[in-house]
Amino acid sequence: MPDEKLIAGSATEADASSAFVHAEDIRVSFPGSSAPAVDGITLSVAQGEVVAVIGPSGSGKSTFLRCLNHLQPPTSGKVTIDGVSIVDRPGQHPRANELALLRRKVGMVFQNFNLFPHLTALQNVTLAQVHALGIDKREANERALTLLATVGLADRAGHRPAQCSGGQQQRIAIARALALDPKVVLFDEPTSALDPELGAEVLTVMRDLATSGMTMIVVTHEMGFAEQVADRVVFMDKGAIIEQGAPSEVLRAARHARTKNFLAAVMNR
Amino acid sequence: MNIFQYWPELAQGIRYTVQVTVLAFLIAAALAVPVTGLRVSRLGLLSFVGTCYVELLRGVPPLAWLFIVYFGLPAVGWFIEPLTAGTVVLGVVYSSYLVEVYRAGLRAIPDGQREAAQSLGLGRVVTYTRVIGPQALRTVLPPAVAYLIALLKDSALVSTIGVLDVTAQALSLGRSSSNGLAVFVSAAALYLAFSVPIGAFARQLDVRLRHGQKAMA
Repeated sequence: MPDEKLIAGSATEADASSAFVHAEDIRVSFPGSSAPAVDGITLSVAQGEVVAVIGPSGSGKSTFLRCLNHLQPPTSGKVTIDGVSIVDRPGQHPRANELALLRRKVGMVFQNFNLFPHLTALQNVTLAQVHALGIDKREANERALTLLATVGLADRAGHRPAQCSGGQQQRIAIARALALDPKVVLFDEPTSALDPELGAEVLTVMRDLATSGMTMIVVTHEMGFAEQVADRVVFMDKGAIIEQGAPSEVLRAARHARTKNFLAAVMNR
Repeated sequence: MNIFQYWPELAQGIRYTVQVTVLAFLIAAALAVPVTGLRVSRLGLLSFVGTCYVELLRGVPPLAWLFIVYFGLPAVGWFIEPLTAGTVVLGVVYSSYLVEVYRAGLRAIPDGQREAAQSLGLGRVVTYTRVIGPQALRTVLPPAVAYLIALLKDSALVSTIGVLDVTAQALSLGRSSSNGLAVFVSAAALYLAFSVPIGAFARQLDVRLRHGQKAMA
């Protein structure tokens, strides 16, 4: 057991008890691939904190993010969110009802929006309220309209996703994620599928959300957003956290060569 | 040659042809749902059972199944009415075809839809009835209608066990008539009178759904 880590990790341990979101030694291996996709990541996030996760493609950022709400079951590790813990061990995974408890606390926004195409914007936002939380339909409608107004789309309530632009779709998806009143929202490259112009309107909504005190973990290639909005930037490569810290430290004064190389490549585009 | 002169007698068979086709299709459509569940199950044993069901049923001619049930089961003391035997056999056989149609429909739904449902804490039942099902229906409908036409034609098999459908009526007319060609061409025309409109409907549905889906993508 490499428990020596705990010495360096004693600070992390102390943090863990107070952390709002705590991922401990998360590992993900895919069958048939020799290198693990996520290689023992431990990360604590405080309530109201905005964490940007950056790194090259294939570094395991999205896989790690998806472990937090168990869309990707970790091979092993422990995730705690607002007091609810889910533990995975090789060959031993949590039950559906335990996961439902965790997922109720976590909203997720996907790269490709993943809106339900056969439902209107309003129905997209009410579906889970009615069927996961058991909220009465009229109340769910009212909440949904409020949420759509928050993301600036009150006038799109009756439209299908296909009738909305990509930026509007992603904002509907954010409203949908917020409908469950989550404690933390995970963003998986929310602007990568969008033109810069449309991405900007999504980033504005995310900025507002951060200002409102929402705990956010954002996998992103938007260095501007990371620098201006995030409280902390985490740089990942090859399934591990290479370095992390305040945006100014990581983005302007990176210590590790791999971080420097990555940033040089991204910033010079 | 007046092909219309045989229609009154042939038309008496329409009732049975339509009854067998419609009821067998309903049986097939309903039965295919749980079997698709087995087929796509991640549990090896269940998916094996589903695969056996499909392979066994579609690997044997429907006529052979009909004879096994209608002529074979009485040997073990189980007598079944011709109409019931024909309807149930065709329904069960066609369920095995529809399982593959349903499965393709499920596979056409992007993983992101299931993930979004999961991330929203929706249960399995709600995920299938509210998210996956309605979307899968769009892909499933056109091929399912094609199988309805195939079933209409295969319903003629029940004439071999004594159901007086259009084909059975044509057989008895043809034997007594001097103009067999006119009789059987008339019978064929009756089948076309049903299958062509259904086919046209299916094509229209296909175009409309494709259009809708393109707009959704």
